[in-house]
Parts: sequence; structure tokens; C-alpha cells
Amino acid sequence: MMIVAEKLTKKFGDFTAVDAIDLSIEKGKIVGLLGPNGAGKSTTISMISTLYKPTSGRLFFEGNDIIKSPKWIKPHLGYVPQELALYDSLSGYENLKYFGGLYGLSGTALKKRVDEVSRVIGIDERLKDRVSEYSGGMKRRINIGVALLHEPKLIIMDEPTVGIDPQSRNHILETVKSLGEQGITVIYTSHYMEEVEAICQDVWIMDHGKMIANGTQEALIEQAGIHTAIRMKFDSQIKDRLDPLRKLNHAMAVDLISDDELVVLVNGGGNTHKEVIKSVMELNYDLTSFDITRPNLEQVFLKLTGRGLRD
Amino acid sequence: MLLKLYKKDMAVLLSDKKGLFIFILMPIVLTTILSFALSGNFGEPGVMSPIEVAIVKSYDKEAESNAYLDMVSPYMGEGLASLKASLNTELDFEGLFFNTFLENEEVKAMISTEVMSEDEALQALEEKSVKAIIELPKGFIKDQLINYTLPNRNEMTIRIVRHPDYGYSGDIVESIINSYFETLNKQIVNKNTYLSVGSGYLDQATLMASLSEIMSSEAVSSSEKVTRTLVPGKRLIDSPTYYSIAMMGMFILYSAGYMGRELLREKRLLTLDRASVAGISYIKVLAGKFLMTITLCVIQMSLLILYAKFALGVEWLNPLKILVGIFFSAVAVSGVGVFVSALTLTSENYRVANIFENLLIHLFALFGGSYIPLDVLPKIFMTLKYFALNGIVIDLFLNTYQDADWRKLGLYYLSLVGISVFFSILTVLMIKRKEVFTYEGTH
Repeated sequence: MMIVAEKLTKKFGDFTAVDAIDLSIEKGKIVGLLGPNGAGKSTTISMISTLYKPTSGRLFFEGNDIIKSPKWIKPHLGYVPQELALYDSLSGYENLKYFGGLYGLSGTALKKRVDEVSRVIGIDERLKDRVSEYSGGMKRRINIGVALLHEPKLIIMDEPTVGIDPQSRNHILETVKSLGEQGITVIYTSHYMEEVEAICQDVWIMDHGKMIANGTQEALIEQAGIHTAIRMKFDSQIKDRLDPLRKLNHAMAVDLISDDELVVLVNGGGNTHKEVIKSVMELNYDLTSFDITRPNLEQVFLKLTGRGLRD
Repeated sequence: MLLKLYKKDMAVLLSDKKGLFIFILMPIVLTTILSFALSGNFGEPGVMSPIEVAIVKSYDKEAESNAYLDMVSPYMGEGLASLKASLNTELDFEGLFFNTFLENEEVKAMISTEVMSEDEALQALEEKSVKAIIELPKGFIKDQLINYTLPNRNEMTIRIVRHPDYGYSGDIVESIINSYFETLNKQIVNKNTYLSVGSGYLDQATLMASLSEIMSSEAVSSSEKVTRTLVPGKRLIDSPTYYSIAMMGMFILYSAGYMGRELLREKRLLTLDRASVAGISYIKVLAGKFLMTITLCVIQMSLLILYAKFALGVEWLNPLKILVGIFFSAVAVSGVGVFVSALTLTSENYRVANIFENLLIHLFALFGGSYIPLDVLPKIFMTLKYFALNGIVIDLFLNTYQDADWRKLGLYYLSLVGISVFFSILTVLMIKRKEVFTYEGTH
């Protein structure tokens, strides 16, 4: 395990921001930390980043206690804070060079890494411009690039796509995916569930400072008891032909909406919904259209907490 | 690592054009303005021009002489004719003042006078064509005759009206006039002694006849007692010299103010967090800024010194002493700057830095002598200046300008290093504490 937290707690005065959470993050995985504002995500990653000292609990990086000795994690950690942490009056190049220098890079090695990173984040052409002249998306990309310079083993990204254009957002998500493919561990916090769904292999869900669920997306959906719904429309009345449908493999329930329209709830993840549709076709029912609603993390969160992610 | 932090801070500083304008151009502009605007309060180097003075006569010589004669005639007998004659010779106080005293070459080198009516004199003062007015009061002749020839003594007040822009010129005129009348007073004492002792041996006519000899001996020599010289080895401080030093002392405090905002600015930018995650302590970040502030001050002071030399004609004698002075002043400013920075960071808002820039710097400027020379203010200011960093810097550079010896300058260097060390130690203690608090999240 790359990161292990045991009963990790952080209090600010009487307020408990993170409440005895257990967490384990495997090496080389992109892990999503999901939760609404105030859930404790930023405090958790601040503790992992050694910016906050936990009030209690234990925290390990590759087996080393980083509460006692933060030096174990610092050289291997790339940190992308929620807000832009850049010098606006300097160029993108100067920012990358400075922050790379803080990790001990210098000379040609530093220049090489700055070139590589600027290509990865896609702003190599405007690297010499002042950051203040960049668009919001470009600033975000530089903000991420800074964390990649020293080739960290673990990158923590705290809501890196807030307030940017779709193009930059896609670029950032692609960059994160590619980091995962290179074997770099990424902790990605967001309250945009579609981002987490798109890039994260494991998801940890927090609310009110507690870790309320974790696992793969499928496991979380399963755990929450949410099913894929297939809405089907037929050319003629269907209400007298429901029994064969109810007997289909993976079909958990069939609800009639109108004379010629119904919804089938499908259990199991993966492609089970395709099997159901194929079986309906094989029954030679006059199916004219269908619409699939797959369960998502938003629904999982709603089911687990009774409120939406952005409430 | 320190070099990397320093280079980044310099790059950020140099990208701040508005800040650079305040740091570098403002002191140059203000030095120029103040040098010319307040030049009247300073001596001019080289040959001194006489100070123009208007003299207003409020007395009537003839009427006062007659009144005096009427008063003494019952006691003079035959000597009255002789006394009358002496009113135009030995006892001619108007002639003594105007022809003998004011026409003396030494006095003429210092003041040039013109008799005017009161209105004319006031207008001339307003227009600065004269720098002071001497008003000779009603009774000027009669009172002097009485004081010189009779046992009783009348008080006489000479009024000197000074222009506020020419304080030092007014002082000089006052000193010259005081000197004249002090000499006369001395003779009055001689006269009184002569009269009280002589009256026992001489008849009244003989006594009065010999009086003129007694009093004519010293009056004309009074000008020799009023001279304007400098302490040997000292150079005259003119307004460009003073204000280039005074503005330098003040504006380096703005470097401390700039520095004072830096840590909190980085904290809010989150770049401090980023540095912290990279394993860079606050102290290292601060050390980089300390060096940046030294550089800023050195640039600021050097440019002002060069400007004063080439544009205002200030002659700095010893470049090495100037450079050493600049360095130690910059070190002290940086020490104060990091302290303000630590206070600002600890308080988590810019109030401390704002108070420093908007209030304290101006108080220091006043107490330290950046706005006006402290010798024209109450004496307490001369003591208070040592509590203002700019006061010490100004003193150091005034002494450097006078080419004071290394031992004397060394005391200033030590004071400046002491200030820097004192504030730096306080800063380190505060920052260490803050760093622990931040890490532990108890802030």
C-alpha cells in the first residue's frame, strides 16, 4: 500500500473536520475522494501532504510513519492545491523552473523536465508568457504541471478542474489518466462525480468528516443497491405479455408505465443490461425503442447520505 | 536553495513596476522637490551672500534728542553745550548703529541693510526680497542716551521679524543684533561704574564731559564678535545633501514595508504551502526575502546617492564608506522587514503591514529627521531619533558625508547590525512557533 491511514482524525478546536477515518490507497491507482463541500476531503489530503498534523490516528507512506517524520513523503509527493498556487507576475516557465528547483532539480535536468511537463500539460507554446495573461484553464494546467516536475510517486489533486473551460478540463482529465497509466498514484478530490467516474479506479466517499463508503464504482453501486434501468417502448400493448420478461436472467423487476411502455431494473454491473435487451429481442416482442439509465456515483451518494453531492 | 528562493523573489520584485516606482523614483523626486523648496533653511556651500535685511525706524531722532536735552539740562550747567555737540558725534547712536556698525566690513559681509517704512518692509519680506526685518523702536535714541549718560536705565526692545522659509538667516540676523547690543550693555555697566565712582571726585560738568570717551571705546568692535564659521574639518550641509540622505533614510523603510507583506502574500497564494510540501521551511523562505530586501535597499540607496551626486552636485568624499553604510543600512532594514513580515503572517491579515507603511513610516520620518532637520524641532526629537531606524541611517550618512573616521562610523554599523540581529531573532522565534501552529492546525 502506498498510503495507509488508521483512525485519522483532525480537529480544529471543537470542530472535528476528519473523524477517525481509515484509508488505504494502492500503489499505481487513481483514487477518487468524493464528497460535498465541507466533507473533510481537503483536510484529509492536507494531512497526507503534511500541511496539517493529525490530531490523532496514524498515517503511513510506503510503510513509513509520516506524522512522526514528514520527510518520508515530501520528495515523492506532488501537490496540486484547490486554488492556483502560482506567481502571477512570473511566466509559466519561471514558475515551473522555480518549483522544480525547490525539489532539487537544476541545470539541464530541470530544463529537460520543464520542457517535458510543458508538453504534457499542453502549454509549451505560451510558456514564456506571464501567468496573469493565461486563461483560467491554462493556469490550472500550469498549477498541475508544477506538481509533476520532480516525477513524484504520489500526486494529490484537490479539485483541479474548478471553474475552467471544457477543453482544459478534458486535457486535465486525460493528463491524470496518462499519469495513472505510467504507474503514478493519484488522489483526486472532486465534487464532480462524472470526473471521478471517468478516471478513478477506486472511490472513497466522505461526508461530515467520515468515510462512508469505498471500493470500485461497481462495488459502490452494488453496495448502495442501485440498479440499471431500461425503459422500453413497444409497438403494441405489452401488459398481457409481462411474465416472460419477469423471468429474464438479471431482470430484477418489471414496472409497467403505460399500455406499451415499461421499465426493467437490471441487477449486476458490467454488460448485464445488454443481455436483457438481447433476450427481449429474442422474444420477438415489437420493441421500437429503449433507453438505458445506468447507476452513477451521484445516485450512490444520494442513497448513502440522503442528499446530493452539490447540495 | 537560498539562491533559488532569492532569484524568484527578485524576479517577482522586478515584475512589480508600480512597487519599483515607489522604491526608486519617489525618493529621487521628493529629494529634488524638497532640496529646492527648503533650500532657504540650509547654508549654501562656498561663498556666503549677505542676508538682505530691512530696517524700520520707528523713532524720531530730533524729537528724542531734544526731549533728552530738556531732561538733563537742569543738571548740566556749562556742560550742556558740550553735551549738545556730542549728540552729533560720540553720542550719535543712530550714526553709531548705521554708519559705524552696519557699515563695518565684517558685518556687511553677513547682512546688507536697507531702511524702509514698515509697510514696505513687510511687503519685501512677503516677496522674500528681504529675509528679516529689524525694527528700531520708538525711544531708540532717547533710551540709549539715558542709558549711557544717566544712572537710570530704560528697557529697549528691538523686534526682528523673520521669514519662515529662512529660519537660519533669521537666526544669524538676531545673533548679530544681539551681539551689538550686548556690547553696548557692557559699556553701560562701565558707564554706571564711572558715574558712581567719579561723582565722588569730579564736578558734574567734568564728569559728563569725560563720559563720551568712556563709551566710544568698544562699540565699533562689536562686529568682531559675530562671525559665521563651521567647526574645523566639517563641511556645510546644503539642502540637496540633507534631503538625499533624509529621503534615503525614509524610503528604505518602504522596502521593509514591502517585505512585510511578502510572507502573508505567499501564504494566501498557497505558494508557501507548496514550498512547505517540498520541504522548504518558512525560515528558508524568509531568508530568501531577507536577501531580496538587502538587494532592493542597496539598489534604492545607490541610485539616490548617484542621483544626488550627478544631478544635485552632492560631493560624497569616500565611496567606500558610502558603500559600507549602504550595506549595513540595508541589513538593518531587512531585519525590520522580516519582523514586520512575521507579525503580518502571525496576525493573518495585512493590518500590521498597513500600519507600518501608513503610520509608522511617517512617524519615523518625522522623528528620524526625514521630513525636516531635527535641530529646528524641540530637543526631545534629537533623542527620539535613535528610536527610528531612518534617524540612525541619516546620522550615519551625515557623518559619512563629513568623512568621519571609521571608529565613529563603526558605532553606527554596530547599531544597525544590532537592530537587524534583534529583529531577526524575534522573527525566527515567531515563525518557528507559527510553523508549528500551522502544521498542527491550531491557528
